[in-house]
Amino acid sequence: MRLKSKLDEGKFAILAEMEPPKGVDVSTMVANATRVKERVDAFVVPDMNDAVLRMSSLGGALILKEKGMEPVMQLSCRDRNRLALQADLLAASACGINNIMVVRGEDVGFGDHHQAKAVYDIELLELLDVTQKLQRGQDMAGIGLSGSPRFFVGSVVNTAAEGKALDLELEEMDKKIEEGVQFFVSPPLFDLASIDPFLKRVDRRKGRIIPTVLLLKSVGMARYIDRNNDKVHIPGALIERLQNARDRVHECTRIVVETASTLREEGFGGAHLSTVGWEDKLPEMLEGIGI
Amino acid sequence: MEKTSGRARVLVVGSEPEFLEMIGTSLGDQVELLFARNEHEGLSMARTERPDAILLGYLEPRGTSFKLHRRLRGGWITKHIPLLVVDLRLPEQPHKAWTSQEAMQMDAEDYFSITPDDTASLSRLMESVGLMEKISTKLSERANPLKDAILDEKTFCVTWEQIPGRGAFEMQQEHVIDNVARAADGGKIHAISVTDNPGGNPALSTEMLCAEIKKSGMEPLVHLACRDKNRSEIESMLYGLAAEGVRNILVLTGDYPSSEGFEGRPKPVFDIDPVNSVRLVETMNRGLEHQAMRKKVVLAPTDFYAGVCVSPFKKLESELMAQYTKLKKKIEAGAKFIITQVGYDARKLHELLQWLRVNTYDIPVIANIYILPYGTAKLMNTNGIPGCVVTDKLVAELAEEAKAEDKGKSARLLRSAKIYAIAKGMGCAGAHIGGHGITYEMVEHIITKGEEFTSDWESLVAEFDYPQADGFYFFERDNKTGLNTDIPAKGTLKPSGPLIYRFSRIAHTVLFNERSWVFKMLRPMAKRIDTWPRTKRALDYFEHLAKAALFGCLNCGDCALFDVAFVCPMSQCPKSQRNGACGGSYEGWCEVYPNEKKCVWVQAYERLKAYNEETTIGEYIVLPCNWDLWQTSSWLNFYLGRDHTAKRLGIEPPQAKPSSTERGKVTGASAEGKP
Ligand code: SF4
Repeated sequence: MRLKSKLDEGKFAILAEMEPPKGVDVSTMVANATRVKERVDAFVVPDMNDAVLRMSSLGGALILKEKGMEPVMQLSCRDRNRLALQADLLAASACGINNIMVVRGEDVGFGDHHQAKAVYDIELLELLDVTQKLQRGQDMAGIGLSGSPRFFVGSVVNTAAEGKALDLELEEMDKKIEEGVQFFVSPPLFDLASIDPFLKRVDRRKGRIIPTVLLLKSVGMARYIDRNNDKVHIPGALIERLQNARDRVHECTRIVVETASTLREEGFGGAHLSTVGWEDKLPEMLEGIGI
Repeated sequence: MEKTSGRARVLVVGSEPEFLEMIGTSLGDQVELLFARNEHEGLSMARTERPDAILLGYLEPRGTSFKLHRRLRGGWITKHIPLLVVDLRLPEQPHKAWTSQEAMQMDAEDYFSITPDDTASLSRLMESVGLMEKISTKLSERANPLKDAILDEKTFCVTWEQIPGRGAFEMQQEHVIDNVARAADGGKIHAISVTDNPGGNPALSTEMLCAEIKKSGMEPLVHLACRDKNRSEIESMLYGLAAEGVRNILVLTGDYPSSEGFEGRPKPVFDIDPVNSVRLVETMNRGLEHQAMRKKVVLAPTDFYAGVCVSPFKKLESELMAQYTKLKKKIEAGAKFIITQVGYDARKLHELLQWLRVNTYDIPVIANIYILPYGTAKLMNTNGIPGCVVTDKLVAELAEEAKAEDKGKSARLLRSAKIYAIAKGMGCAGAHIGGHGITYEMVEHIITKGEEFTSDWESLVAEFDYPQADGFYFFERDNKTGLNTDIPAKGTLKPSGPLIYRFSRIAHTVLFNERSWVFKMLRPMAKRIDTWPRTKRALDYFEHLAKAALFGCLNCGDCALFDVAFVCPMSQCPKSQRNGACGGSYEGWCEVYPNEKKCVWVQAYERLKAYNEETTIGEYIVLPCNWDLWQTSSWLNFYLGRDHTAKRLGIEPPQAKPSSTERGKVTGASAEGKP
């Protein structure tokens, strides 16, 4: 359990997002992950990010696990009812996948199957509660299990919250910690100042915070996120920097390196590198961060 | 691509009428708009219309916009067009926009999300998101940093020459790439130039390296030597470069091929000379026209910025004039900047600037600064590197400097910095820094020191007084500055008009004057002979025999004897230079046969001078040899309006009859065509 021990020891952990394929050809995913397996502490396998159909996170995590890498399986409340969720948790643990990251899941309206029925049979906090219960040897209905799973649990936190929303966010964070969450992944972070209100009030000792470091690939992408995602703020100067870059690709990776390095200096729990399709650039970035 | 109308042309793609209307009303008066309403239309208009920018809105069904964006970015033509994605978020149709998953893969220059409150505010809204500004910055981003640096009066442009080595995976290549990376980080260099098969030896191709350099964000300058490529190969290389966004080229003749080629010395190509290469580039820049399937096709214009070389450091009057007359043609052909050959005489560099000024040529000059170590200096002193001039005095100084602990390194850099200062002070537009084993730090050192020295440049001139023994200067010396006045010096050259030249002149005047009665009388006969294969062959045979004996004729069929005072450039010049001397001549000798054969242009100048006609040398641009005419009678070709001289004089070909060269094709066709 490399991730757990890193975080327990208070060392800077590197998470890398590895989206499973849309299809069954896992060769690119495996090749990209293999190239950096020594340097990455765990690979986060998303559960159909943005409600776009892909191979399940359980499947993806299993494949990485087989290749000797440590996965973090994401689990969202969107697509499964309580039966299916528990079943998958049991399966994961039995297969040796012990890191999980519990999320709510984006609306199906964002995705490529917008006619799909969103499930949300249980909410995020309930799901966390279930995970605790399972570990104590009981299912959600209180019936005993033969052999109980073990999990190292993470979740998400909206570090961009301010004012009233921030109160609620911190409250929820406490609840999540009570329900056994040990690390929190934040939305993409580009500028520490933008999450200042959160940082001022959060007690970082209680749960390790691992901000997402998103690779911006084009000015268009950056502007889209800045404009449409209220959890993310991208400073204008950064967009300008991309705009004026002579070597755009290089500049993009440089920004990731700089952000991740700052996080390390500032004593965050780690960095969650999200390279959205440019996973082949991970070696270069890790080199830059000095991992 | 250059805008023709002056207004930017923007292609707007979207299936929603509200979107098209909104763009139409808010941008219509500022730019020329083209509209496409579906994926197919968008793609084909982007390809055929080549707009300056594309505004991509929502397309039904969902996901189509993203798909089209992918195709545009992957397209050969369209990948160069700035792409701006626009989501018009109408409250009643929120899903008509890019999904965030799509956005994560967006490869666009910009993105706009616009929520219209009321239609009246739309145009203001558009302005507020800076749409127009974005488009124009995108357009100007296509500006060329090297060109900007050369043309900007406040910037002293610096280029750094790299020499690729022979082999695919050798250290030399690694050094080049390292240097480029350092230069890109350092930010003081405006372009990296890469030589083309340096010294006539095979090496990793400059165009490949330059494309790589371009990708790394540095501006490349491709050396294009006419030695190893014929005109088609040059054209094709240029298309490749254009497609990669590499636009700066330095056209030069090139050293003669070295004997180190595979299994011996390679065939020297020299199909077209730099003058005609620049013409080719300029034609491509305007949009080259050609015939395909009997239809006129005009190619999309390219955006090349082509420079040329010249050596003011020549010793003889004839050599120097051959340089300047060729330079004149290069400028007339459309050259945009000049880089000098290697030389250390400040007065000579000044002479070039003065010559340009006196002739009212407004073209920037970039001074060559070769960081000269003792060993190389000795080599250059004995004509070991064609065209590079190092005098005995300079070699002696370097020998002294080489005794220092650093083997003369600091002295070399200091000298280079001083040349930098002199060049800048004199009014050059930049410096072209080169040398073996040079690091970026050294280049930066030269720039920094050079800048320091610049205010004091005039006092440095005396240190760069390296005249060649009996060397000719175009202008009288200015004793105050040690440079040149604007009074042309008297020629020192002894004219020489050998008998054969005198005879050729008479024969030419009699037989090849298109306005004479002889011409008018002989032309009908020429027409007839052209249709009699046997007579024609006999004439060709006779002509070749006579001209081979007199001039060493190769029977190229597109005779340039008259253009070079009856010294055949095709057979007597190893580089077939029809427009002026290459840079390699040495004290009047041909680069390839030093101390053995005089340069054809030196001979031509001497001959013309015997008739006081030396100023007519290189009065007009001679077209490259048309290989359609190879091994045919040039006399007939002249009379029948087929060769370059006939074209220049406006001699029309007679009414279309099958020409000798189309023999095969035409007889074939008529055999079938006949009833
Ligand atoms: S004859 Fe003159 S132009 Fe031709 S190769 Fe020799 S030096 Fe160059």
